[in-house]
Amino acid sequence: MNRSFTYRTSLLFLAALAALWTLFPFAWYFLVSLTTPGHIPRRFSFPDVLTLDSYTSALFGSGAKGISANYSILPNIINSFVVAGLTVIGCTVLGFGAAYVFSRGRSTTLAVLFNALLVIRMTPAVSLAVPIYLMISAYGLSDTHLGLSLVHTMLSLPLAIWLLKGFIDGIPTELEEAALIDGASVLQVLRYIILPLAAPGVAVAACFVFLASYVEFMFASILSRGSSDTLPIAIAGYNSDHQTFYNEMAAASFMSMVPLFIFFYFAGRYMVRGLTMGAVK
Amino acid sequence: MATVQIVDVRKDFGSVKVVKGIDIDINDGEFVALVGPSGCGKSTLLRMIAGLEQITGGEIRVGTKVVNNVAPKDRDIAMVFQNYALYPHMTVAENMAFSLKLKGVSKREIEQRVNKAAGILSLTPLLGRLPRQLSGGQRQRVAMGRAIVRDPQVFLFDEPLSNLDAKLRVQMRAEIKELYQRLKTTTIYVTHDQIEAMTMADRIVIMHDGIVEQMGQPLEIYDQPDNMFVAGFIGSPAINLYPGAFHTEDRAVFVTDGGVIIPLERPPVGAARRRGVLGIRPEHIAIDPAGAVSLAVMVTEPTGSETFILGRSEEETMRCLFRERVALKPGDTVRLRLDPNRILFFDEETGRRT
Ligand SMILES: Nc1ncnc2c1ncn2[C@@H]1O[C@H](COP(=O)(O)OP(=O)(O)OP(=O)(O)O)[C@@H](O)[C@H]1O
Ligand SMILES: [Mg+2]
Repeated sequence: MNRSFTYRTSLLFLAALAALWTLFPFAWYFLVSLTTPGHIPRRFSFPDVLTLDSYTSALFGSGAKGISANYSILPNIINSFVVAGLTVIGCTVLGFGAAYVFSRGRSTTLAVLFNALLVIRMTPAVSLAVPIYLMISAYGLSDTHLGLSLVHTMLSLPLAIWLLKGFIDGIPTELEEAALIDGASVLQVLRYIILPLAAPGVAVAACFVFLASYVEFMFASILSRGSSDTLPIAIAGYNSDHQTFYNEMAAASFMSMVPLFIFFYFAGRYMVRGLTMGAVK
Repeated sequence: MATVQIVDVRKDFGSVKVVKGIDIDINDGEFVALVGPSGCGKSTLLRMIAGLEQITGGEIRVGTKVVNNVAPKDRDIAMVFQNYALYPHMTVAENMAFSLKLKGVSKREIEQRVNKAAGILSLTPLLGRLPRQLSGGQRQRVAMGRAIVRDPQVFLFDEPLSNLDAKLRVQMRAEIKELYQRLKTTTIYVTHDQIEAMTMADRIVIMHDGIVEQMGQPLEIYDQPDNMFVAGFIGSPAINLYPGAFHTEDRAVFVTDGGVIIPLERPPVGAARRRGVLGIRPEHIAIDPAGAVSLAVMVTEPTGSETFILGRSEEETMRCLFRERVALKPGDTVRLRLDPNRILFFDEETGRRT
């Protein structure tokens, strides 16, 4: 196609505008994180001095009194990682098994159940806050990694199942039958055939689930009492009753993205496309 | 190797009866081809033998063991699927080694057996490739390799060649046959290609609508079909079938409903004025200036080795196949002789041969 020059330039301009629109707040926020702690920017301006003080102070709680919150977000990073990790394990293990059953099962009960899962997911999370708080406390799991990850697993499982089912649907049943005839048990079929072929799906689901847990705020704030605070809680903590530590808040926000990138990088290696090609004609 | 006995086997899918009571006895080391039109239940029967489909009624025995409720993995049967079903994430070698690995065979022995199978099927240079890096014919061979490394009691093939082009099909047909000669493992081979069935099998089972129409050696079925369905199904170009009536007044003839008068040597007993269906294969018709039937040529298809002619005689169309080259073109008229010794008769109602 040979579109006109104007057409292409205007498209490019639109794309640039959209990118700018999205990225502008981040850019400003990023500059804030590099500004001297205590400096509160009111309007977009380029700081006179660029410094990493906010980063070190957020990481180690080493900032000066009055202009720093004086706590380290390192434990929160670890908390977040543990909770998100447990959630990923829960969602992929349970989700994989359930998705397989939903994919291969042929009963109406299963179909109804599957749709119910997706519908339940549409209820506002707030409506679950009180009952979940009561349940988690009743089992003595409030302010624990396990408690929060159980809740996150419950929240993300439907999505994980839905995603994985899509991937498993694409694996021809003949492969399973061939494996059964080759002497595999049902568990061995799952282990040697379905799991490797659904690996990209598992990786995608793991990323979504990890992200959802990592940024989840409401349940994290209801269920934690300090010792299991996740990153979003710590970041929100920079905004206290008397003072808001903008620079550290910004620095902590940007640092919180690093573990995400690391996780996505490793998960991304499994997202190889076209893995099932050549199985059946 | 083992015998396979199929005794009154039935299969219903819900209220639909797909297999309606089938009895087949397969000898140790025999090559049996299952043929029949699409949807007649061939794959279903094969899948029941493999254990992929629950049996609704009857009994399947492999060797002396009833396998109705034995899981596929414990039946010691190998199957080659129509679409090959190769494990896409495993190399050719891993595909072939999979069953042995599950069985806990030692690494050394696995390697030996895979190499041997690869040698037989000329797959050795391809052992490290993934299925998606193979051509259709190579994939087909890997699927067979996966079956033969196991040295199973029984081989099942479900239309293994139907995804290949014509030339490759002929080549693979020969390879499978050669492989069978070498291994002599009991084999059940599903196809709806009758040439495949005729050329490869010791015995052919012709299925139709969930039942067995006839079972026998290829030429026996060809020459003595039990009924009209079998006569029409086996043979290409297809047999000519003409409903009509016998007349025995001055000389014995068969008059088709379309008005063709065909002289007979010995009509079936008590045939006078009775109705029936006459069958004559295209190659049992010869050009003969003194022949009783005249044919107006409509289509000629010379293939070099033989000539197929489609023509019209009175109100009937007739297919003829001549081994010799004939100089006929559409519009010509020719006189034909129908070999009276090769004429078959069928009952009009039951379709059975009389
Ligand atoms: N799982 C199933 N549920 C319901 N009906 C089925 C099922 N599997 C097969 N059938 C029906 O059973 C009949 C026989 O199917 P089958 O696959 O055995 O035929 P086939 O002889 O192998 O045909 P083809 O030559 O086309 O492969 C068909 O009418 C098919 O629709
Ligand atoms: Mg079939």
